[in-house]
Amino acid sequence: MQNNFARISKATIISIIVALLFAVIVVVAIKLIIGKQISFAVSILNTISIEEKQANEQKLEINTEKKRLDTYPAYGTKYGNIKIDSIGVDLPVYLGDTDEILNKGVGHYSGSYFPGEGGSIVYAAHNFARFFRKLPQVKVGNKIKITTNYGEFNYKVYDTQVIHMSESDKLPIQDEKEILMLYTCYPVTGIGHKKHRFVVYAELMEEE
Amino acid sequence: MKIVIKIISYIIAFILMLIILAGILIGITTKTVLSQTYVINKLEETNFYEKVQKNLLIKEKDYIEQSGLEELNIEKIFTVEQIRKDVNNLFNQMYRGKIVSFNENNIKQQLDNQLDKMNLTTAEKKEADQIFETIINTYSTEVTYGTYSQYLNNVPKAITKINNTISEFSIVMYILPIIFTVIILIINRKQIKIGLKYIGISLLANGILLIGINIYIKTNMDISNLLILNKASSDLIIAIVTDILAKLNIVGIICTIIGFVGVVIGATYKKEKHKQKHS
Repeated sequence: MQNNFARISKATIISIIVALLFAVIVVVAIKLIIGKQISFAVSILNTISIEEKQANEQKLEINTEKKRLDTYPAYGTKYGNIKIDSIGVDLPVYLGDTDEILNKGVGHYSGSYFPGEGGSIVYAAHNFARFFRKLPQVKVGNKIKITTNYGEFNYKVYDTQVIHMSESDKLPIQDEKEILMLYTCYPVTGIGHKKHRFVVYAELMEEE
Repeated sequence: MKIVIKIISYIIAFILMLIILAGILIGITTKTVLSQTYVINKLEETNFYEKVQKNLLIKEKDYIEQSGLEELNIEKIFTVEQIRKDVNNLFNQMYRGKIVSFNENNIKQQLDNQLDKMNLTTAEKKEADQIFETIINTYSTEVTYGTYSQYLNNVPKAITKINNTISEFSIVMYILPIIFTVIILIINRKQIKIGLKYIGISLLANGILLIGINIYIKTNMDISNLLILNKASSDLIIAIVTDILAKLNIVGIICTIIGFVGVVIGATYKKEKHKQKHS
């Protein structure tokens, strides 16, 4: 009985090994023929799928000596949050200012500096009710808080202006003083294409 | 001679494995992604239309709020039924091999009808027309992926080509496994149970491959977090992929069980022959 069982087991195991061998041959053949395409497809799908998940987890670090970030967030990813208590704004901030980004939240003009880098920071958002519709209600002295995973930065409004969309010199990029500039299309209501922008200027508050 | 029969049997078993594998993959594909009914059912199951409507209304309301046309009642225009009709029409075109197009006239008419009830100047109506263009483009992008039409138009051609190829080979796919199974049994006609062993090996190898594919995809791809175009599309694709993987898994398990049984039957035959020799 035991011999029979041993013989059956042996024969079964041999057959299973042959089946495994068949499977391995097919896998090797697939890998040789379209292995690269499969790896590419998997990496693309994974990049797409984890992009949103990891965007908030990307750890940024600021070099306080050089006043520059060691690593910058990927274009199009969320890296922070902006809060303006006086007008009830609490929105995500994304690097970039494409249409897609501006439909999600506040866009950071990529040609400007980051909070903490000591230069001009330019943020834009649509004048939708859930975004910057109330920006024209911001007053001098109001506080703005930018939160990132490398630090929290507080700014105080010192000026607001209505500029023409062609007046880019009213949003100067410089690295001598940390200035936050927020803007949106103006007027915020009414039918038609808006040719003006409402700009809020705020300076970095000294740490208490 | 026995060795020759063995080698031939193994070769035929390998070919049988490949044919069964191809048949299973084609069968599952035909019943899922290549089936318009299946895809439409998945759209309903994942509440695709409702999700699209929710996303669409948020975007449209943004434009309308800043346009000053707050009196526009877009919920009446962009209903779940309208979206269902346009999306199903899109899939209908794709599965019938037609060029994907979206007829915006109905929506434009409804917007114009609402505009006529407002007291606007000629200049304001002209501005409103421009805003309507944005509203319709947003609808087209969100619901029928109009901005991707150059890629979408490749889908009907691909579906037609695949369906035609499958039709040409479908009879072969059903007949070939039977032919090869019979060949194995004929070659091993003196030892039918050994023949069953080879068939069992084919099925077992298929089961291992199908279960292996399932495990590979689940461990190497973050399926549950797939993000393609938007949440509604992503949820739809995740549901379809998950369903296909489940089907592959079930078929794989069935093949493994039947294959194992075949292999064990083949193993028991040797025992009987051994007994006869020594009796």
